[in-house]
Amino acid sequence: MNRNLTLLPHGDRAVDLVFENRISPEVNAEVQAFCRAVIHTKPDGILGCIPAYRTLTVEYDPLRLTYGQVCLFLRSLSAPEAEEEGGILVRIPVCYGGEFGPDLGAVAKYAGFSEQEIIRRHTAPDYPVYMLGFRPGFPYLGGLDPLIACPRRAVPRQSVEGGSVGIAGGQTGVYPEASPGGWNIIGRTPLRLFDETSLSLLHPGDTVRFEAVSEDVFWAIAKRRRWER
Amino acid sequence: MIEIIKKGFMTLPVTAKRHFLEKFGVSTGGPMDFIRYTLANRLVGNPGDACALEAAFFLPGLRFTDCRAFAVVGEVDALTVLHHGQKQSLPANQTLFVEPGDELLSCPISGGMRAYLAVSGGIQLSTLRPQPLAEGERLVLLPGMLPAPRRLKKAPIPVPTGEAVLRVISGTQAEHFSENGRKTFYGEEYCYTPQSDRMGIRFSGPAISFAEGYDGNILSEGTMMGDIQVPTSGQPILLMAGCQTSGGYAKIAHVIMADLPVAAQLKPGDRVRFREVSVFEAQAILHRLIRELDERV
Repeated sequence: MNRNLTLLPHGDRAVDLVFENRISPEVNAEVQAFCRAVIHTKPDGILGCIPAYRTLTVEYDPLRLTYGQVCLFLRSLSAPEAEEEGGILVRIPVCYGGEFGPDLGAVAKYAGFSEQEIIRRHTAPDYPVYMLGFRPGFPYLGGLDPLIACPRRAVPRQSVEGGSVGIAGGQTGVYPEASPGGWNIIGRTPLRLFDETSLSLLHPGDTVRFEAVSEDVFWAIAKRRRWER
Repeated sequence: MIEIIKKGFMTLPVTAKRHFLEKFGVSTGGPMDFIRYTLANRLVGNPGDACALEAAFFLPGLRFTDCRAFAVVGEVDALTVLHHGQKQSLPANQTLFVEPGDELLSCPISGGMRAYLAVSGGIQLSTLRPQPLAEGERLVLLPGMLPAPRRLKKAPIPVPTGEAVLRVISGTQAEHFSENGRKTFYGEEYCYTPQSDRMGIRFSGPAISFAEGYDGNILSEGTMMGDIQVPTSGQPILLMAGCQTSGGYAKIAHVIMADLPVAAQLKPGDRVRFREVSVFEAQAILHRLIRELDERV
């Protein structure tokens, strides 16, 4: 078992495996590997697994397993080799600012840049997909330029539009559908990130590149999503 | 099949069946009050994870198109069933039988917020993420034998009336809060606000303060029903059955599984207090609760 690993009770029916507290591809690869090991071994009474940046939440049935038994099981797992999964590069068109990105101005002000500079810095990197969560298909991306990081809104919005691209702390991501949320919204993509047949457009291990597009291009792409109506 | 005549306030098909897709961000879902959901399914002889209807504030009005057994478990004074045009008043919390054309009329839920309606065979679910029912919608039922009639020997655990104590386990980020913040959380009363839904219950009350160097933000990690998140505003949010699979707010505590049905029945204006127990105690409480359920039906 990895020496940097801590086990914590997550309520009375889950255990959190906690790895090093940083956003890094190496730490995340360990999380994904443990997740695969749990799913592969899946003993009776394990109900679900949520891999995140640096934690793995393992849910169990407290009527069949005790906390101690689950910890023993997790400690008995040998850390499997982190296998390289062949991710793909996904280019995501985004219309920044205006009605689609109501917080672009606030992020620019916080960072001390112009709005144009925020867009340039947001479209520059290739972002690794660390995890999916929060809503179906929602990617948690690494690699945000630290100079445009911006704290989450103190009070979350009751509703954020689907396709909204946001920044929260050192993270950036895309809302796959309308939902409540606390991220600063800087733009919107017309792509659909989740449907029930193909599940998620993005998978952990993929790479995302954002590309700035005009409102006209946004609507041109949006109109082609015939399945949406 | 059942046809929805009146949707009530909000009626949702729910199942306790697990999909193991949390890693793609698909919410676990399931019933808010697993006790009443389980009892409703037992009364009609369904498997424990059969899809049933969860109704909030009002039962929906339904028309049945075949011979079925159904049961409503919840605080409902009396059910009205239209049988060959005749109104019959029938009790909740027991197995009832209907014929093609029979209608269950919509009526208010008199105590708590939610009641469960199970039909023998169970509802066929064609989506991972069921949506609230619309009027005119038809739900396909799975084939199922008619069960022997049964009734609850005792009422299910009582619904809260104005106030409740929710037992919790110390949170995975408990140390992100100041000692005063934790005292506030465990010592003060919190009020259920109308901005609450199946995703989460937003409480209002004295703001919970953070430890030196911390605020409500953490690196996003897995979340589940029962988690109590505290954003920087200091107002706690209890995640419920429809909650997201991950979140980036510090978790001060987790409501124990046995008390989630209590939280599910809270209404706007209700006040709660939080009391800490150990994981060991929580699991013992759950085992006792399940044994009591087995004595009810």
